[in-house]
Amino acid sequence: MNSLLAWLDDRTGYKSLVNEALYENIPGGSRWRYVWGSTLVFTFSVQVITGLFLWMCYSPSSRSAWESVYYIQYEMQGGWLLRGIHHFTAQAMIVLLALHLVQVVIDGAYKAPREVNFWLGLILMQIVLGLALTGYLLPWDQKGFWATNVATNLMVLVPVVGSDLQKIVVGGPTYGHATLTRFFALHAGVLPGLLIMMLGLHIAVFRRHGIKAASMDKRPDQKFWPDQVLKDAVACLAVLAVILFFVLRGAMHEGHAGEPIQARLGAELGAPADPASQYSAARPEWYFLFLFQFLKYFHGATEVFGAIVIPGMVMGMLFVMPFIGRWKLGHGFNVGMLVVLGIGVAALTAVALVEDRSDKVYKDAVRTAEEDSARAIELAQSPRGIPDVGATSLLRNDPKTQGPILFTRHCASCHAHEAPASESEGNRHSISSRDPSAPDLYKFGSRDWITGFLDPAQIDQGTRFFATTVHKDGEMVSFVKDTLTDPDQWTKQQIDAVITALVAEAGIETLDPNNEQLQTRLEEGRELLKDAERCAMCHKFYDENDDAYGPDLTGYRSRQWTIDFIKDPAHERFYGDSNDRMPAYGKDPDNPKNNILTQREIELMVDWLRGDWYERGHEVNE
Amino acid sequence: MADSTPDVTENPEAIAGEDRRGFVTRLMAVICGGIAGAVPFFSGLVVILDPLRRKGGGKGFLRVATIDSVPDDGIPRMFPVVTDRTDAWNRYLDEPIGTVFLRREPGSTKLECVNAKCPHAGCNVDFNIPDRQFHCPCHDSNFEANGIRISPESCPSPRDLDTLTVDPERLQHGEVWVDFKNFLTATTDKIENE
Repeated sequence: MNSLLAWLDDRTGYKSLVNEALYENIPGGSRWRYVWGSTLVFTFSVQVITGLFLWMCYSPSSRSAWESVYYIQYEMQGGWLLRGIHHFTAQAMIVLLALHLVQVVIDGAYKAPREVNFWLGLILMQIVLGLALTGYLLPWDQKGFWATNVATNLMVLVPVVGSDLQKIVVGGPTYGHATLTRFFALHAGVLPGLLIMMLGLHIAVFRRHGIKAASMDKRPDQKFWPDQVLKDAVACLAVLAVILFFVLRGAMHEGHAGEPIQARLGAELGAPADPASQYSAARPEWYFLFLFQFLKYFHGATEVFGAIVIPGMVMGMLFVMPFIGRWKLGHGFNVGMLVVLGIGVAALTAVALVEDRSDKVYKDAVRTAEEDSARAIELAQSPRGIPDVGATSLLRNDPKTQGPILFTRHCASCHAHEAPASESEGNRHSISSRDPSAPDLYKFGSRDWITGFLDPAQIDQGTRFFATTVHKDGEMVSFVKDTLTDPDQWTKQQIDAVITALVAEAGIETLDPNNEQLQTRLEEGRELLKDAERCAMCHKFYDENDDAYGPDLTGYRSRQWTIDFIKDPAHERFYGDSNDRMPAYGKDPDNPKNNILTQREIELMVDWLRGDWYERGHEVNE
Repeated sequence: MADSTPDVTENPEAIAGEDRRGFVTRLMAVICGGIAGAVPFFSGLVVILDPLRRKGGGKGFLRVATIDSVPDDGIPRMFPVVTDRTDAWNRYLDEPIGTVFLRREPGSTKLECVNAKCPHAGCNVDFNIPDRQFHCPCHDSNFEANGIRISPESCPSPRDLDTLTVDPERLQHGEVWVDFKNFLTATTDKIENE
């Protein structure tokens, strides 16, 4: 064995390499305070290892990035752990970098002969920040998308080449496939490659000058191996423990009902990036918050100072520290500058956090973002899965998500949808109207709604039914108030039969087919609706009815009925000439471009109004 | 290794000749090595600069809404701008490519249109109905309902919201067609992002 190793050493010289690496002299012996550099090398190694594995599962395109990250996080075994470690180690690296820098400056380790190494360290810091910035975009979720957008939009401020530079980085005028391929190549290839080169130089130069001895007390020198290595290894384990704590932290608090555990473990994944959405919760990662806050103080044309000149000057000041340090008071000045910088960064971060905490709009936006994120996951995990057009279509084609948006945009100036606060539906589902002149459409077509409608005490009260339309003083109201209240003409049981028959038409609530009494009631109601002396005096119900001038009750409030109604409420099947102000949203089937809403938009809104959307655990509805 | 080093220390002429030859050798080494390295590098550089010659730019007038969907109450309403969109090798039909706010003064048939993108850093602004203000969720720029900055001296945005042209002829027929464009952010001037 020994002769084999001797042969190998003769051919490669590995022994001197190992000796150089392990038996470096540490003046004054091993110390805990020397561990920070090693923890940084450790965290970088963790990033390389976890990053390579993530690479094996990640697909950089605007149609597959979110999808593949979703798959890693929610479907692949242990994916949340791998991603969680990568995510939180990135943050640990930033913290350790800051500590390392502070220590180097305080110890004066930047001074001659270690200037070059100090500069190499600052370059390494830039590379790590670059890795953080490029990595934030890769999951292609709303948060990363919008935060990174801000960063690349500000590139325009770079003098002369700004807009060209932006285009090269983004890969075109807008975000898309090319942005991801570029960011991914930077994140997984260019920047780590540069980092390894610079780190090699950093360590080589560090070894050349040796460690900057901490203090004057004369303890015997030690070798790097094994005393310092043990301390370094313990420190690395401690760092790993902190990282794992953050990865697993979510397991401690309870999640929402039905929510997969992966939603709380490791790194979060927002809703898929949608450039056309109104995303109001855009914030950079916490370590860039100070820059974000700093930008708020620069107005109009002074922006370039906040975004480029001042941060550039601060970096410049750090670079000249070794020269400043040569003067008598230079070291004190450098330490002071770093303290001021640290206080500034901490204060700006604190202000950003405090402002956000007291900002109701922002807090609502964060809540909406969380709901969208949970909803996107729920839909991705539904039996339909993610369609080939990509995950953005999940929310775009989801009645639960789009219904409130479309309703607010197109209906809420007249109609309200005042839903009681409910955890499962979120706060977006209760929509007030500024000037409610038409019915509140919350649960319209339900038994409760129809019962209220046929109740003389309710029909003309408030804004739940006819509100302030002309129908408030119309025939239906006098019928309910005068005729329905006459027990000689309408018994309570008959009214209930009509309600039952209408509920069956709407099809929102299912009637138990095994309940014989209910089925008899249903048949009775259908007869009453067809009765030419009763409902059919004004309304059509299946049979031909030339006298009908009120809305057709065939399929009343069913999906198709409601879609057709929204398309053209003044159609003779509905209100005809007596339609009061409601626009036709899709009157022209031959020229869809002439309509206010597309067929799909109307369907989304109607499905939402009818509560007909996919919910986890209610797969029957699908 | 030491054995094979040529001995050139004896003859001064040989040294001078060796220097000349050495210069040429060094020059050739740099040139050959440089070309060998530059060809792959520049072939990559050309490709990566491709976006510079691509034009995004406006897509002409696009139908956004009908005038009926913009009540004349002075409140801006948000509409997606939908058209076909190309993302590198994919073409998407009828996709939202941006967002605009449309607004009509009481009793007016004139329509104002602004791009929802904040001119500061490109986040989408939102309209706050109680305050009657546009608010940018990113760096707190505020704008009046007509898109003018509320206090230009303290607003992070370098310019007012970007107005877009509404086709007056089609508006007379009740249709809102907008000449949709995106502009460079963070600049004082409104420069189209092509």
